[in-house]
Amino acid sequence: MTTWRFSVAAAALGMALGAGQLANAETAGDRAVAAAQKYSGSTLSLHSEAGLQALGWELWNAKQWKELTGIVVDQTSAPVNEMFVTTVQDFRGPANFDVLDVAPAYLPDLVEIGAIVPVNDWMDEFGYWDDYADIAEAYKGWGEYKGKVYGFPDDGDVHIMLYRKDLIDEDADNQTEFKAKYGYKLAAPKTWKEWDDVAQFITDKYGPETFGAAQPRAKGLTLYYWMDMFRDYGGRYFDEETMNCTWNSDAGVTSLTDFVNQRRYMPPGADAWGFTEAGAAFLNGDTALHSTWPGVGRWAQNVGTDIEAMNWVPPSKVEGKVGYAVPPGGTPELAVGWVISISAKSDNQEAAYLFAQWSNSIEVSLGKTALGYSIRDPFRVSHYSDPGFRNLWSNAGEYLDALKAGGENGVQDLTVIQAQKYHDLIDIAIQAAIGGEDALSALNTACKSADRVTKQIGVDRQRDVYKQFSAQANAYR
Amino acid sequence: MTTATTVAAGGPRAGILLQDRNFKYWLIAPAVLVMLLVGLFPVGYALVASLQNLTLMDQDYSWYGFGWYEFLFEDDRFWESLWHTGLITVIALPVELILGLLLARMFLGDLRGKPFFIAVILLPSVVCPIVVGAVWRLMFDTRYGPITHFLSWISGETVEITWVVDPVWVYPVILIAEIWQWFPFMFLILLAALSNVDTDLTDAASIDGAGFWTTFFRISLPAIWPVMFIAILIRALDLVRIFDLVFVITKGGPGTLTETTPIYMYITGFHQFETSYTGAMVFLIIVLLSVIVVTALRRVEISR
Repeated sequence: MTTWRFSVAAAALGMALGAGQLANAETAGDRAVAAAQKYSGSTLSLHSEAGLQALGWELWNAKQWKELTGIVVDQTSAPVNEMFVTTVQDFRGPANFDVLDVAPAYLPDLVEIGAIVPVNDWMDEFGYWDDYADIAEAYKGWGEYKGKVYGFPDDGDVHIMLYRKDLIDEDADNQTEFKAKYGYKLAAPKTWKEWDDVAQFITDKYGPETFGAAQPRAKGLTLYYWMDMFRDYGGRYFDEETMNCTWNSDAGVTSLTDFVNQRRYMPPGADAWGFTEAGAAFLNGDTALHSTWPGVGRWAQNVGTDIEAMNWVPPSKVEGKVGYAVPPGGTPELAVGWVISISAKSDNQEAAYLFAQWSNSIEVSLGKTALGYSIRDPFRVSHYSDPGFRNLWSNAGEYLDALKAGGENGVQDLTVIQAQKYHDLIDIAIQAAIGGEDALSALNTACKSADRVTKQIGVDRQRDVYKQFSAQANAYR
Repeated sequence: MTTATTVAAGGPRAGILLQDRNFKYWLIAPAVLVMLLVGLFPVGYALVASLQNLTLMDQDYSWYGFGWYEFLFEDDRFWESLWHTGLITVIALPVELILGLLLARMFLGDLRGKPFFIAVILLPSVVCPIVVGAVWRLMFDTRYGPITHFLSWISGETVEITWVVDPVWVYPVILIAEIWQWFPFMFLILLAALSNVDTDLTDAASIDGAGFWTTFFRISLPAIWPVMFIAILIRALDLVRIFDLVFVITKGGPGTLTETTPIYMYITGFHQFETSYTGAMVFLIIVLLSVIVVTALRRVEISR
């Protein structure tokens, strides 16, 4: 199917769902629209991640919301690493934002400083609990803190493995050679050992045209890959009694060493690649395995990449050749993610809430997650099973099944007070190890600093929040 | 009895004397006040903030004494960042100076197309450092960068250096970008200074049998030294503040290997919201730089 057909299909899917929404006044989205009519003519300020996330809000939600309610949505945006910073700065400063995209790892901080408000009462008033129950299990805790709901998980960010079916599943010679060399069947890898074997096999046979694997390893991104591996290897972030950092445990050192050593089958220079470079390499056919955010899985089939704003995405040369699976370990990182929350300083909190309810509702969110450009990814049980979505391209069902498995078994980013400081330290340790420092030494340095951060925050205070995090099903599997 | 009465009692002559003595100060007072406010208030505020316990996360205005300074002296990452900044400064500054001086000396004579070449040489200095960082990061890209391709072509085998991650190469990349951008500044200043050296003196030295180096060290260098010193000072201060170029090329990595003090202060202040701790760092840096600059200015007696 050609690119434009995919776009038309995605748009038609969304339109049909939108039309269905109007016809059925019982949906949560409709209730939000009806209640928001009284705010017609007002303006809401929305703060979201820059780039494609902002584009999704602009082209998909803001436009429809204005037509339905007469409420204008003004957008501001910031790079992903600056979102928390700009949100706090806005709260401490002039406070312009009404609706906020909040990364779940930083939600406790925003609640603790009073920057966002609980939405339970509005959920009761405007009947949102059924739609809320439809959110996949792993994401549900994202917006909850100390027994209250502070926002709606709105983006199924989870790592998904893309792999070349033509080289791995369908090539008889490769099957035979791999079996002879490694003693087991060549297939999409289920463990990190298998990932290493398959990637090495591909590099040995097809390099330098096609390498075994690549994934983003630039500063600011590697932590999302290591945090997953670390827990797969049995690692835990802290000793729950003393709150001493335990990243430098055996699990930490082994996982970091293995993570760094993955470079042996990666393309030259891949250690410096970010999300775009690693994704582009896969789309270009330069790599056979790629663990990444779900949007790339749609682009690999040239879905929704035909609008001007997506010109920077290279046309996929692997369309029709891509398989989807849960990354090795089976417990992929629920990396970053977004929760829609309401600013405590908003002058128009109810209208802001109604916009959040409408955009997060089953029908509206489905249309958005099927788009190529929005990089808002499926996060509801109903998204995974939607027949329209499952037929967007030939193996869209396989894609959704992998995301569903991720949504059920994924592990959440470390979520504690001032998580940003810990994330920064983890990232630095990984980068230092990639740069050649011994894994133990890098993690020892990071742990020393982490212990100091914990002491500064208060061991007891941090322990309470960490216990809440570690008690969640998606903290450790 | 008031002063005014005294003045009045002293007659018109006393009033004029009083005016002579103080009036000039009243005239410059507003300007001095503005300068003090603009220059000293932020320093004073940084000092006050550094003695408190301010963060954007907890609005705690309580006094913390010298706690952040104690923390600072135990913070290896801060001292390492200072070392990285110093390393870049002590390598880049002399290289920029020597390259600028050599080129300025070459451009002293009559050259065809001299204005055009001067404009071309100056181009890097007018480009925003973020753009320069991005350009050099691309130049050194392992896969697509022309430098890697060129080296592969010369060596006859594939060069697979990840320049911005490899600890051996990451500083050379930063230094090349930094020097490429800023040696033209040195060139421009020194060309102007050398052009103003009295040629009668250099000609006379030549006639007396002085060689090139003797003439340069005994006549030209002393003549341009005040200007050269100011150029060195400006560039040294710029290098101590180096942020954008390094941030774009390495973001301070790998690990914190290229994290300069301004990058660390940015992370502490704007990512970790440690307002008071950042204030302590800022104040310490201001004190250190002030001592160095004032001492240097005194030693060269630049005001003379």
